[in-house]
Amino acid sequence: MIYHDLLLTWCSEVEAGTLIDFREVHDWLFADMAMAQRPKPNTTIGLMSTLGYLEVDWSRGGWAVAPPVLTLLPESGAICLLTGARSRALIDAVAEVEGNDELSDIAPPTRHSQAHGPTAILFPIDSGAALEQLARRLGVRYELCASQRLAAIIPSVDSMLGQCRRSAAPVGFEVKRFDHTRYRWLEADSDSNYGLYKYEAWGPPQYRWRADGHIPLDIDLATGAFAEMRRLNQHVLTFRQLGNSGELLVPLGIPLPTLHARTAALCSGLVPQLVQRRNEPWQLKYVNVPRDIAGRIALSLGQVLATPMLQGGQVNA
Amino acid sequence: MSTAAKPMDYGSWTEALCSHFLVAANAGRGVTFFVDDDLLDRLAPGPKGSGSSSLARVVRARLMSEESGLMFEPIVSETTTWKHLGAIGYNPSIPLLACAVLAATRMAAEGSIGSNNYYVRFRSLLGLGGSGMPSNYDSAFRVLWSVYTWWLNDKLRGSVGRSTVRGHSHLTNIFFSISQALIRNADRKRFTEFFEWIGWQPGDPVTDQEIRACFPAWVEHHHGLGLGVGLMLRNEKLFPELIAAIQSEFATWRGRVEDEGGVEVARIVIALDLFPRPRLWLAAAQPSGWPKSITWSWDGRSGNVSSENAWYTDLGLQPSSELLLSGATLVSDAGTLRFDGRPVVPLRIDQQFGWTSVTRTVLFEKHYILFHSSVGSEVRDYVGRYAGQGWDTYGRPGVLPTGWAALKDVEFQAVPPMPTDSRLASLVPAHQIRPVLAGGLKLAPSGLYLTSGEPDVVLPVPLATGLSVVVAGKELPYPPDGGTIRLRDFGLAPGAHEITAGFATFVVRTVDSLSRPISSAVGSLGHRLIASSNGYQPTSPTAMTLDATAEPAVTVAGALITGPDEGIPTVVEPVILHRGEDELWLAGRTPGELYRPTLPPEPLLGRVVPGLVTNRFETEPPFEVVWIIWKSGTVWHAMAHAHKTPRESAEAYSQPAISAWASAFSDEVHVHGILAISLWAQYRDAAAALL
Repeated sequence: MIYHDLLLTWCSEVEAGTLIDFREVHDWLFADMAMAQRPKPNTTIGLMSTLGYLEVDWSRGGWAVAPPVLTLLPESGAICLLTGARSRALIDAVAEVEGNDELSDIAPPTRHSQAHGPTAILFPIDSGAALEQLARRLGVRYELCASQRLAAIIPSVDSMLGQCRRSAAPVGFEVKRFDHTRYRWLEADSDSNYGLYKYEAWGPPQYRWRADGHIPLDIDLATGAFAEMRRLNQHVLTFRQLGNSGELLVPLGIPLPTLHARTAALCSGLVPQLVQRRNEPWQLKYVNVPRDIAGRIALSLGQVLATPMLQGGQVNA
Repeated sequence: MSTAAKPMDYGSWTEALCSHFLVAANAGRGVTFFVDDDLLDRLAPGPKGSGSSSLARVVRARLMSEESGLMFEPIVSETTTWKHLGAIGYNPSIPLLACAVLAATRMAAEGSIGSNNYYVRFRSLLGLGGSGMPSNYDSAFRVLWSVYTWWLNDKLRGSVGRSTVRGHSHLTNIFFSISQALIRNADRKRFTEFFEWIGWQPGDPVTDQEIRACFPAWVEHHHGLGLGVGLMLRNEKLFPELIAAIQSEFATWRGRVEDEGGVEVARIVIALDLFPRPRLWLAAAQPSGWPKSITWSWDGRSGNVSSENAWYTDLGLQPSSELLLSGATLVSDAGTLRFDGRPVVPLRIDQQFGWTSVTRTVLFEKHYILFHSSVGSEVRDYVGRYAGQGWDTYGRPGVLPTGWAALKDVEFQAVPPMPTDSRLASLVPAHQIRPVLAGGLKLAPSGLYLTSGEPDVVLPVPLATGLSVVVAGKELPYPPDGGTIRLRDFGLAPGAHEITAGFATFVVRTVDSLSRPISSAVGSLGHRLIASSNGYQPTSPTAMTLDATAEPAVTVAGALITGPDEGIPTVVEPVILHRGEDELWLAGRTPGELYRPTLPPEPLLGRVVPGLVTNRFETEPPFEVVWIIWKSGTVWHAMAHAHKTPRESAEAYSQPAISAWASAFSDEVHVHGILAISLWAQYRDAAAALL
């Protein structure tokens, strides 16, 4: 959508800023959308980070655009994605490549407009050499297949927990407890039981995970949620094989950690879709994810992938 | 034994008056020589009215008879001599000038300004008989006020305040004195609240017309100004003087609300704790220069409080219903702490201590709305109409004072109209007094925006008629109910654009791009991962500043993965092939390395992205591919994928595999590319040796 593109252009021009700046710009840009459709700034910047356009330092309230990069999407039929900073100069460079008949190895890009993220710019290419050549023409870096490389280095839940410090819960704010049955937050009168808690403090919400009798861990939502799922031995990730790749389904209330989400999203370059089946909780659907990548994501999070049976190529729901 | 206070003489009055008005805190700022009966009683303790009597007595003793025609000459002469001798010490005309101002304040208190009225009071004060202007009053006071102004502004260079004495075209002789009698110094400090209310920033261009339109509206809802200001508001001849005084005060305003002594006021806020022990309490922002610990007193109560992170937390003053409604001004050794009482109080999350009262709501932010029962239905109705869905009643018992209730999760997502009931004004998000620029894709603090990201002009309900809006030379009517003008809809070209909205003027500069090389800020945040036997360990729970001097690690910034060669996993480059060939083979360097890729299903991505067409597919054979060999119709083709020469046979491959590899390199193949032809010949020779 045009607002996301403008937002990405603005981010790319200013290059870095605070979450407060981002929020102000975001709220202004989307102000004329119907309230039900209007995205929340943390959701938008989270999705932009998932897709590799920028990085967010949640602890210090800052963000910075990522270097512009071309990367091949796995099992895509040789499609590469342009992600990272997208200044107007880069947009002009893309237009120039598009109009240049001499670049026989590079087909014109497909611009895929998305409701909840910047337009995905996708280039069909003929060879790895063409990827290099295109990157040179655009003046950007290239990463052969970022999703595959990320899948090889995404950290485990344990290693992420190792980065969390114990910290008393903030005082004075509303507290809610994570409901592991419906993946939602319920008001709580106490935060002394084992579980994941959310505090509506200044800035982004704060989370604490209490899994022992000590001071709780100051944790991010994704790590906390998957740590809690593992504590409860609950498996929440689903993979549907469709051809050479498939769809990875993640409960909306249990978002993947940043690098895990990016691994899945850079299989398509697309914003994960929000889906709901019957009365089940909402899910995020990452498309075009190869089975091995989905498996690595699940393994690192202590999850076992559910793989529903397919009938005639369709999901047996 | 009792000691009677010694009567004040002329010199004592001179010193007392100068010490009161001319202080270093007024340096550079306008000071009004406002003398009234109350002040004189404070300066000369005694029965009510004794101050003015004392002053009049010592002044009268210095005057000659009116019949002489030189009644004020002794003081004029002394003052001019004092000036010629270098103006050492206090100005000797101060007590006489104080009498002149006192006559004016007595007149103003009765609500009527005029020469006859003035002279009646002046004569009465000094015990003069007769009527009309006393002899040589005009020439004497013109000289004395002139020397007074010279003394403050030139001799003392404004170090204890600047003169605000002004003349007037009609009230020629008496206005010098009247100009000091209408606006108290306390009024001047109250003007700082007006500046904040209207939304001016120090240095903003402000027109007299804007003050004329807006100041009366502010006065309507803000009390505590002196009678003289009210008189000036109602008197068309005096209003310009009031405007000039406001302009003068604004010119030296430092952007903060001050008390009468020129000290920044500490604002008291309401704080609401929700968990674990819900409670309502009061805190105050610590102005710069205030000490860490203060002692306050108010209404017979007092307390000590220390600051933490620039806040005096928990004043120890109970937020009672009456206090929340009526407000309080606490006096401390450092200055004034003020709480403005009102029946509707929005609270927003503050970084320091949670939910905190604010002057107004802010768009897109959640609020608690604390309100008194006297406006309960009006608040619920307004919130119900204009706030986003999801708000609810805060129902925790025992937290709020009797007669008060609260709503939670109130969020305005568009500027609602100004409520007809002014008690609800704090519910309306900011920017409702003066047109302001809001939003926009700002590239620099100086007002530089990205094209297509020009800000909006938010227009409040106008306080005057006949206003207009001009955008890039195009005049538009100013909407009578206010509204928002989206500059991004005007298709403004890059450049500077002047926008006039009512009394406000803005310059918006736009560019298509900053057109600068990519700076180090790009990619400055990312994830650092260190390889270990247990996989890759993150070094922080979130993206962090990537420090080039830090321990070598794999870093991820967006889709870019970098790091030491040994620490970073590599990815095999897939071979990209065309769909639709009749037959397709891949061959490597080593005899036996021959692979026939399977055509995969159409990629899922093509089904998801409309218009994305690809006739290619990727494959990853178990060896490094040198040749892509395909059959199109009846003709075989070959293309080099890598320019690598053939190897010797390897034991890993069976004889049938080696034979199959060798038979692929025949003379009947059409080889693409000049360099590839000689390479193909080498492979063909190697194959021939194997067959």
